[in-house]
Amino acid sequence: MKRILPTFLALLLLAITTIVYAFLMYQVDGYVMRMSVALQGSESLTQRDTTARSIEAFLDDTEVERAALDSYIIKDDDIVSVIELVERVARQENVSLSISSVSVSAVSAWNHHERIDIAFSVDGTFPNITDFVATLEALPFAVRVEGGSLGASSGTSWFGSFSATFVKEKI
Amino acid sequence: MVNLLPKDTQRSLVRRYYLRLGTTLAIVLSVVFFIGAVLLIPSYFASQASADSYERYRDALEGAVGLKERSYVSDSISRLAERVRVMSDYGNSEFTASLIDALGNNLSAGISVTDISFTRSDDGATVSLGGTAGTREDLLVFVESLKESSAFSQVTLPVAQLVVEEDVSFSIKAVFTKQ
Repeated sequence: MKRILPTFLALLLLAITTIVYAFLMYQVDGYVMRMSVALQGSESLTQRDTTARSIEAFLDDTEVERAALDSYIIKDDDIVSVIELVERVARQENVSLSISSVSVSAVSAWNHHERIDIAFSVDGTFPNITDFVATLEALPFAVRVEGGSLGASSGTSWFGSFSATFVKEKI
Repeated sequence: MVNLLPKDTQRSLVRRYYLRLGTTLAIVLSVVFFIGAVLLIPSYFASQASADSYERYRDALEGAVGLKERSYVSDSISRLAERVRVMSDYGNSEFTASLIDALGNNLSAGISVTDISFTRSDDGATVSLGGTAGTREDLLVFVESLKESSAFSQVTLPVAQLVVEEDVSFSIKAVFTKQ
């Protein structure tokens, strides 16, 4: 027993120093990994922030143009004033207007906008009706006459029914 | 050389030799690992400090750069892109006026159009025209004029409508494309 005691103690010492060394190596490796992850995260954040800043600058630079573009889109609380505007155009072009329906519909490809569908009929002379439709299409809004029919009713009088769509912002 | 030691003593000496050799090797390795561990201690603390520092920097960056506040930026861009798309779809103004003008330009003598209907598609409109022509020849001239016009295509007139020679009622279908 006395002979193997030094060997036993040496092996015990070897085991302890090996464990301590392995523990330190494992810890250093863990810290390096954490450092690498944090560094990648910082780089990604910096890149995202740079992109966000450049987009912000773009939005600031194009504020006037965007405002001009926005003016073509009807605000949610301006639907009535648009209908009144259409009625005013009809009076101005000397046609008798009758709006039969106004509805808001969703367009599958749009996330931020909706379509206002207006169906109406007009009575008047052919030039007045065509002037009315032309003026309607020239309104400073995103507007499209989707379809219509015009028919001579009596003498110089014509009757037309049309459907038009405007674009409004989605709430 | 003859070994005169007894066999038991010889075996005992060999065993002691290997025990001492093993003990020496274990001590040497222990010293090596001890020195290695001591040398690793500065790296241990340095890497721990660096990892903490990088993590604090990342957390601070996440809070300070205000990425959350800038989330409206992507929403604004997607709204703008859609708005530009919508405006390109709705930018073709004066479409109906162009259609009426194109029809007027192709009207020939003896033709009286009393019905016009159209339905818009992506890049044009399907048009139906109804009316009366003074003679069959007038109607043929009108149809030919529409066919030759670059604004109209796929102009069709049912052959049955050409049976009558005078006061011919007609119904023409065509596709209009704004020039």
